Amino acid sequence: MDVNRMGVDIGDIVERKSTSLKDHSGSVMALDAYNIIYQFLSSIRQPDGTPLMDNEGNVTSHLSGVFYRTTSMLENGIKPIYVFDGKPSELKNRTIEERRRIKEKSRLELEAAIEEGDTERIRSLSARVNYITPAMVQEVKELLTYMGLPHVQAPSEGEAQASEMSARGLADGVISQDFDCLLFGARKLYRNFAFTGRRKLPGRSIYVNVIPEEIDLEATLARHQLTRDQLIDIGMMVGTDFNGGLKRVGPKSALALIKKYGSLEAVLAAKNVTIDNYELIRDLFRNPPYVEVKDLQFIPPDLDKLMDFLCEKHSFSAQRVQPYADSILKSSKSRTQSSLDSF
Amino acid sequence: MTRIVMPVKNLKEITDLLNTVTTEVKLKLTGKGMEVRAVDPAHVAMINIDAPKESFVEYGVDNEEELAVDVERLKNVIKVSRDSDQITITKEKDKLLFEIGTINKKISLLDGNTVSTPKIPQLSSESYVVLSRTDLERGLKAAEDVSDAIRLTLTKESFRARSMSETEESELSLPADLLKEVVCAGTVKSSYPLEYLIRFIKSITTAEEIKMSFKDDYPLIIDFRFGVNRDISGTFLLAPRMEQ
Repeated sequence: MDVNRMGVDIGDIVERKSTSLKDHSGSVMALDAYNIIYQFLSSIRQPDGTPLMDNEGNVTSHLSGVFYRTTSMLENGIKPIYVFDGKPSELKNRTIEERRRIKEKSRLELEAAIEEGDTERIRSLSARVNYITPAMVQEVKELLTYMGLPHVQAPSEGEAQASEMSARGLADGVISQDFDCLLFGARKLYRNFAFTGRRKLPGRSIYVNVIPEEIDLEATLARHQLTRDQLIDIGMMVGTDFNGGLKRVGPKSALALIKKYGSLEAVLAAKNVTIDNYELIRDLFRNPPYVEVKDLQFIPPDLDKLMDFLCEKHSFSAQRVQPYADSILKSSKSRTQSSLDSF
Repeated sequence: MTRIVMPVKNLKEITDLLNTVTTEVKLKLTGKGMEVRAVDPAHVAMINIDAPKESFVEYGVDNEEELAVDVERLKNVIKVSRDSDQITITKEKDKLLFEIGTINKKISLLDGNTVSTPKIPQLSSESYVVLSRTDLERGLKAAEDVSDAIRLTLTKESFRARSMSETEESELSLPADLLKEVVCAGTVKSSYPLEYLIRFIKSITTAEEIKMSFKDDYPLIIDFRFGVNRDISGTFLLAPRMEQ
């Protein structure tokens, strides 16, 4: 199981198209908060690989990412709702434990690289050693509150809650890198929304241009004439956060197997293999733990508290933050502005 | 070959109008004339222009085609002209050649796939008022430094455009005898973003009168005719501000 990748790797068979933030003005987007915070912690780094920090030595890469990127979404008329993870499913324990082990190994390698002064390796390893701490989560929630934005605390997986919100029409789509969202029923998945432009490939000195993309669940199912259950089965064959997948089976071969045999049970019987807990995992994708969402309010930002939190408490430059804060206020006012699409 | 000749003043007005909402558009040339649809990125305002071939000095369009252009580049071309000039536009492969008197300029066409043409929403309102463009422009200018929104109210007796802040207030009030036409049963009122309206009204310098149709919390539909001979028709659509 590749535990470093996030979620199921079915990118090769989904129906996707390039898009941009401005194409989604007026849309409500549920954001997979942990997925996005993790991206910010990995990517927002100083030249030597260390994360951004305030004067007290506290990491602030997550706050920088959430503040600037969310403001950009607001400027484009998007209404973002961050959805935070709750208690992880027990089915995910093996993945979590494996990720923890790899991180610890990377941490030890990082210490050695620092001792040796190997700057390239320090930069590379630093991006792998990220921990989302409870304090960071609390700080992001506090920041969102000062920005006048609602957030949702999921009972379990954030991407499951966000996807269910999309399936129920409470959000137009889910912003996450994780294809699992499609298995959880997200009608639209938006990738590369939290981070666009040039991005360095992990562990390599190669940069790629990252363009936001929209993945459509219905169009994906229609293209392959699949049911959502069959897509879930394909996901389990490839491997998800909850299982390791079948050996030497990628998304295209999994699709071919489902087309040939019809269901995961038939595939497993034909190949004489098994996937641990596959019925429980399938049920988790079909009916994930979900908390009813109501009274989500987008209110005017509290600019005094926002400036105090970012600039006084976390050493952001007031000169740089102020125009963004003004922009958040402007976006808040324009939320009373309707769109011609509504008529 | 595609070659059209038009008064430069008409092209300037068209580009100024488009520039109120967008920076890139497709000019659709058909057997009947030129059609342009443009919407701003937030889909708050939309422009719809129909310039019949009769509004051109010459209209040589053999096959229907769409020319995707950068509005700013068009404006730069027009800068070198005088109001009384005519402009000749010729399509040359992936470029447009502009001839204005003794000056020739070429600009590159944009990739048509990157510029979308908006779908026009089906809107209608039974209540409308026809008034002088300059009257409305004065009312909007008076409101400009008061608030970022303006509230329009229409009855069969009057048309009012009111803007309010905590400390200031501005109102344009036109009784029925100062209006060209008014059709309204009861009272209709709706608020609109002032910035878009001001940019729009400043861009249509040759329009003498405009027809404004609206109803409660509904888009504003402004129909107008403009151009040197007022033979180009335009529609401006503006989404309402909703009360919190």
